[in-house]
Amino acid sequence: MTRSSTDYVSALLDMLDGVLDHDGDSYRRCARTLEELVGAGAMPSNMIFYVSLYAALCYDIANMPTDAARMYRTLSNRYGGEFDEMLPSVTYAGDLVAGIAGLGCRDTRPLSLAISKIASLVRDRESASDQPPMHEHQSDYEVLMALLVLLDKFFSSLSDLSDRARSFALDANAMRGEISRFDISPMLRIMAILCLDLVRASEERSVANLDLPDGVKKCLGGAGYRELWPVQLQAIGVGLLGGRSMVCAAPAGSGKTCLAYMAAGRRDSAGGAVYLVPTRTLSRQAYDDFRRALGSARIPVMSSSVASDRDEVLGESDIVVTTYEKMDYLLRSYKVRADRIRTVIIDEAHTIGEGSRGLALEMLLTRLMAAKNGSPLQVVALSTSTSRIDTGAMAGWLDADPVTSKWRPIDMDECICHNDRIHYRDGREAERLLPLPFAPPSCVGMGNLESRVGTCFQFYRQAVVEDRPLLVLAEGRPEAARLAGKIAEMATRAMRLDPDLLLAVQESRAPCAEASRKIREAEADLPSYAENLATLLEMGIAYYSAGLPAKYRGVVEDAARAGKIRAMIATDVPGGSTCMPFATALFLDPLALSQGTCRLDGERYRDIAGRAVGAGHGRASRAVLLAMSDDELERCREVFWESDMAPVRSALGASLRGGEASCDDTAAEGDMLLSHLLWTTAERGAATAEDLVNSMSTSWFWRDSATGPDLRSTLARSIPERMSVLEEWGLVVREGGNDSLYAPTKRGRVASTSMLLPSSSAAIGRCIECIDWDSLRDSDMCDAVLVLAGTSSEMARRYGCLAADTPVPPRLERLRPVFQKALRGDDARLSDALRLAAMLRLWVDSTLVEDIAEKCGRECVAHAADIESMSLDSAWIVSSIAGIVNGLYPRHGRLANTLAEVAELCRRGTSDAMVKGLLDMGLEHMGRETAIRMARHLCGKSRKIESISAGDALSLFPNKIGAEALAGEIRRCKAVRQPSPEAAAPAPRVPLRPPVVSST
Amino acid sequence: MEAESLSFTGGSSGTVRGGRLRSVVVKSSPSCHRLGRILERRLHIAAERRGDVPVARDAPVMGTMLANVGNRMWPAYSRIPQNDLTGLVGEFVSEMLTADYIRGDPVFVKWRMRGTSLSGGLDLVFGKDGRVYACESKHLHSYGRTASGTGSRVASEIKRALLQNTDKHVASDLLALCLQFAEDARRADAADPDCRDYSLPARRHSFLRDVLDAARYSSSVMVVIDGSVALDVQAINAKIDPAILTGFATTVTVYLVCVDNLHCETERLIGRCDLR
Repeated sequence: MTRSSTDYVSALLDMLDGVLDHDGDSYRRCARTLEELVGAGAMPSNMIFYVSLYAALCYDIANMPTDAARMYRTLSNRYGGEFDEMLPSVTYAGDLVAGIAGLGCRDTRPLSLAISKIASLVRDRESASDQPPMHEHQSDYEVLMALLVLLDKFFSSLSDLSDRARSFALDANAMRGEISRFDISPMLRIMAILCLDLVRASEERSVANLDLPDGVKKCLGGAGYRELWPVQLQAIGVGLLGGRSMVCAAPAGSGKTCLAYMAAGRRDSAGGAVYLVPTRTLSRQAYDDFRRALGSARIPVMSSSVASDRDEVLGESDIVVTTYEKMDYLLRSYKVRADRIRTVIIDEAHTIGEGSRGLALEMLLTRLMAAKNGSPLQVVALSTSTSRIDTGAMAGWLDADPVTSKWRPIDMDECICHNDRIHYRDGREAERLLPLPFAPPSCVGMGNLESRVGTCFQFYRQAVVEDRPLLVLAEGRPEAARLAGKIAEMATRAMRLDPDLLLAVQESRAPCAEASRKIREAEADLPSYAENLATLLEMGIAYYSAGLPAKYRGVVEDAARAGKIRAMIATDVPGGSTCMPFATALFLDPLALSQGTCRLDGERYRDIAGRAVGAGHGRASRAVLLAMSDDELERCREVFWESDMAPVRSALGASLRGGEASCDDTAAEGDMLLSHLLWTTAERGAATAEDLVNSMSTSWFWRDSATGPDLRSTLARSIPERMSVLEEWGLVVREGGNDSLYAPTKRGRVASTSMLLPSSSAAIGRCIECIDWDSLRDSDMCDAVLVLAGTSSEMARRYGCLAADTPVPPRLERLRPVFQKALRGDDARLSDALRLAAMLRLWVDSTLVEDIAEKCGRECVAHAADIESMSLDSAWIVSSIAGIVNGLYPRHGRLANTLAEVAELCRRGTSDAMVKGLLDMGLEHMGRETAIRMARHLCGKSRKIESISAGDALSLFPNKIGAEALAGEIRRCKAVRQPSPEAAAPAPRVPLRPPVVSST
Repeated sequence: MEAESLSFTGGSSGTVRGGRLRSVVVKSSPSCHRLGRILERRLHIAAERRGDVPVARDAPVMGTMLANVGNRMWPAYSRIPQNDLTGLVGEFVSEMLTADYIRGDPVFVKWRMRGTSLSGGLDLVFGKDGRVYACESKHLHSYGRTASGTGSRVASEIKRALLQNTDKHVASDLLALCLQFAEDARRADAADPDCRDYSLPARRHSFLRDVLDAARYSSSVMVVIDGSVALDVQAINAKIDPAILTGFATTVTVYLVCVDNLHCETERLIGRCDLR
């Protein structure tokens, strides 16, 4: 017997075992073998269609949705008329095959359509007198149609998560018995048995069967989760819904977010779920995702990113979405009670090994586990890092089960592009990059990227012409914006020579028109970078970076998620941890990315690429590293394909050992550790060094290093050193002559419940005590408070670089001697504080963001969001200082008042009464920038706010779309304020602006 | 099984195409009366069986599903169509050949299960010496005017049968049978766990699984033709394209079964229009 025949028989036997034992592995083996046989051309032509269909069904039964979708997609090409004889008209055979193929992505519409066409024809024939002669394929027809009707009904009801799905599954079981009594062709019989088994398997993994509240299940169904994917089944299997803790490591797009929804929505976690993310951007994104997914279940969701100044709201929400650091503060300040928390979900859990952020997470989890005292607490740690994170070790620490899966929902080819050839990682023969059909346009003006832009344009052209959306990952925010502009410029020139490109670009205009309009509508006073973005979007091109303000970033993210953008140049994948539907992720200069702030490595590059292409289900996708020389090619192979990933280790351990991270990182980690020690001391009233060592015994560091001989001695040596620092800062004292018993001072107690780090609290406390605030003039008080905010470690670390080139005006320079003594001659810190205060001064003085950026020597396109977030961060820092003043220095009433005023100024971004008045009108299209321009316009004409008219907006702003939107709002607002006498009905309420997006 | 059957006598046999094809000519010379009686009796059984075969629209679940697309595309069988009748006659003869000449044990006889020859899949599966043979039966009821013309038609039928019966097709068909036997056993067991009847399909399923596992199966083609037709076996063999035989791992046996009076008896049966 030939090899292919043997393989085929072996596949059939696997299929038999799969059918009889419901064994997923057997189905998986069968599907793989059948796909290989078809791919190798080893099947007779009259069997290819059925064998491909068997492979698709077996993949599907075995819960390999991507492979199944791939095989389903091929069916139309492999159809050779197998159903023709069974059908009343061959015209419908193609439709029927397309309908079956649609089941790959659970789209039942094509199948419903095909069935209804056939039904209509048959009814016509039934009513006609000239019925055709009897037919030898009557049974085949009946079984095929009954089967497809059942599939259609079942998958439709599965999509609705209705109870009918279960009854159709029972029907399928009964039909299996019925079919065995009919005379049908063997190939159809096998197909029928597989289809019916698919119904069984799909129903078994249906979300409808889960032990979740109905509302949650409906929400999950609405969010597109109908059948559980492998990692979800695994997690459910180990007890996710029963409250079992777990550490889950699986690639991007494999369904971990659904695990978070299920854990947060399970019955026992009601009212006490916390979703923790490493960054504020992710917090905002996750909050939106949670609201979208679980919104209709009426589960209150709140995020610190939308309620930064209303912490009490967070404590009342059933699901709190926040950052590790903010959660730490909420617990320390009792805004959220630890005993109320039932479920803690940690996104990006591998960040536990990353600097101060990791340390914050480790300390937070340590505290939560210590506080649980036998009460049920479920910890669900999610990570995309499958090779770096030691799920077993982490699970051991958290008393959890490891859940690991390497299954990806998409097939992602990894390749390196070099010399116009694409080299695949799996050893496939290199293929040529689609050449340009014309001389490439000039790439001059792109600096270091000049040599790469040509290749990037080739990828762009291929993306547009072949409708395979492209994401280009570039290093540097301004570079991303410039590259997007350059690609658009090259495309405009190339379109004259390339009709295919012209046509494709024209086709991509319509889908992006709405996104472009939304950008223009966001603000009447459109900054130049936003105008550029809107223009690029009209061509289906966009750029994206954290430097873009949230209102524009959101528009780009939504357009990308909807698959409308053909090419995006970005510094990171948009959409946080959710997946995007790009087909290609191109890393423009991967080695530069590996050395830059991104610290790209093999794991991270796969994670980024996986997220970029993860939502393009069933579509072939690839991650491409661009190498410009042989040497670079080899380095790329080495760095991204061959190097072993260093395992994630405890950040606390790194902090205690010291020396591995940069000075900044070490200082930040040190601050986090001090914060933990201070809190532990304050919580207990007094603590010995031994107590503090023991408080670490539930940390991962302890577990991670448990076998090390010097663990306790390292801590015993290190902790007194750290406590001495707190003692020096006046936050703790040694009590009762006992050298090792520490007690918090009053300042220490206030600092322990403050959002500020101990180092900030200490420095600010010294400033408050040393400066004679009463002697300061009123005009200097506000500036002094801004400098005070600038002395905080948080501001210095986060925005020190941003403000590094900001000129310090004389009015602030005058305050230098005032602060010098308080900061004990730390000139560097004082200079940083003055520069930060100078930048904040521009903000509260109603300076436009573009002008602030220019004055501070920064590009607005790269830092607009930073400037906005700096001002909002400064607002909470100033509020926290006010808390310290109120708690410790009640005599400084004047300072407290000024702090409250400055916090408001920072939040609003203006001290101008007219700008405030305009903002208070609550118009959606009247943002800070628009209000500033409008106020200048009205002042220039000596007019008051009341005289504002729609015409002002139309004449003032060249951005017609935004101007018209604003003009419309002004018209409506004026009509409401001056109701006509005949209007009897109450006036409609003027829409209020959404709450200011802010966070800690 | 009916006691009455045909007697066959072996004729010439030869292996060609590098051992991949073996032709066996078998003859039978029944009288008109005897052949007619045998065929009629079997036709009667087939008609009864056909009447017993369930109709999809009467099955509870399938009927419900089919209600959505119209109950039927074609009217019910009211009589056996000519092509079905000639096919059935071929299958009757093939079954008798298997029992009386080849001495194989029947595993699956399609016409006895379905009552018709008009359905896909293997016509006959029998076991012999631990090996399973999957047979495709072809009855040539209309012939060419010359021996050469008839030879071409026979060769063409053999080619068609071979293309439908490669090792991979046979494996698929055996799997479908295997699945069906497994389902029969499951249903019988579910209906009455103490019932011993389910052991037959279970044994068949188990046997076929072993056969597939050990690749102990081969293909056969049985061409049934009237005894008066002159056949040039060598010429027929010569017309078989060797490329077709690459789909077979073992020697394919082609039985050329010549039955006297077959043509006139088949004609007579066709003439009896109502065979309900």
